Amino acid sequence: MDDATLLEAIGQRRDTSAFEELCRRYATKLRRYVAGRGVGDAESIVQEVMLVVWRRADRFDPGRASVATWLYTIARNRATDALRKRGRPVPDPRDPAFVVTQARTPDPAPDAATARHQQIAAIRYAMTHLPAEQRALLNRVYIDGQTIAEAARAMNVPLGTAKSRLRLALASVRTQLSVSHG
Amino acid sequence: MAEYHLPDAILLEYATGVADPGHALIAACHLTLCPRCRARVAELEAFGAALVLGDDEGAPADPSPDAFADRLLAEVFDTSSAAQLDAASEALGSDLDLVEPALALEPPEQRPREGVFPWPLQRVIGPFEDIPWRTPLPGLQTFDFQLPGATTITRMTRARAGMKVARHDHRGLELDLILAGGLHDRTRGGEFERGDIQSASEGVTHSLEILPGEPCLILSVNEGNFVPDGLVSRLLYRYLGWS
Repeated sequence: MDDATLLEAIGQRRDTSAFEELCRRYATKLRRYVAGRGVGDAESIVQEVMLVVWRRADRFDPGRASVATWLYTIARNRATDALRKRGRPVPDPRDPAFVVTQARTPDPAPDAATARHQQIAAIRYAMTHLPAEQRALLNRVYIDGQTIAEAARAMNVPLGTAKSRLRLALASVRTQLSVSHG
Repeated sequence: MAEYHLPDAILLEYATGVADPGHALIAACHLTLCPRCRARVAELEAFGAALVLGDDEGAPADPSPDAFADRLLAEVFDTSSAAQLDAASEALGSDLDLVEPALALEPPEQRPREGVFPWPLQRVIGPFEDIPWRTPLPGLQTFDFQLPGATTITRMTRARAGMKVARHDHRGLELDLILAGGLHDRTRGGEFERGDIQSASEGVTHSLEILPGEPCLILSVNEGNFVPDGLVSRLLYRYLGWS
């Protein structure tokens, strides 16, 4: 059963075996991520994340993100809260200033971008084929929770070099995904 | 060429939750006004999910991949009934902020010009009408504010049409979000309007001019002070306290 089907079973039928399966798939990886961010009690945080998933499964929108991305953002929000004691500011769709469509930038249509978001395996594949120094930079930022400046210092390269590597890495993952998904 | 959007580095730090609070604020405000960068952040979150939660095809299996999950299910979660899990999750209290952070917050107080400031900004400095502006020069209003934990300099500026921002470099990255009126980069070209980001890295020397029309309202988040270029610039920025 795929992740989205499991989440649907939890959200609509309160299916405890679907919840168990989702825990088996993701709890260990989530714990590794939360611990890597430097949060003290990573196991408690993962318990909370999974209970949030249990309670809020009905709010998951498969049109907006994959299940893995949804889990990642919940764990990120919880880890960030634990580290900072303050939430980070976010755009609010209820805001009268909120702009839904934009004329200026002829970027890919949102639905094409969304289709790419579903392809966690394809993204992972593209990332594993990046040059080692680009991959190392992304690992430091995503997994170790470093800023670009901190990663640059740790890798002993100028900040400008780190930013260039980041641009190249993201561009090459995007290119690879647009090639493989047309 | 002018970019109009936030650099990848800022969007990535925002997406991973490690951005400086000033950068997070300007990101949240720009994202309110820019669907393209919202899609970029969603994409960067998917990249994070792939790195953190994805599987490597063909990789050797972890010898004890489920030990923690098994323990969680055996000792912590009582999955014998949905009611047990409901009780455990309700004991957590409020959790909407983890799932949809925006919806967990009350909307700010409604004001006639509420649409001027995106809510993330309004939540920090209040509505546009109540800003305690300083007027260091005729036609120029400024308001500096501090965010807890920030190392960036955060400032609101309101300048009348035709005013010029004398040539300067910067210590670190300069980010301006235009909230009203327009701004023109006289050195590098590009006209910036509501929702656009004007950015300049350390080492870029440029001057700016307010476009004709209504006063230009700018949220600036700078990593360091201006570095003046020339005598007029030095005197001006010293007087304003920007250098």
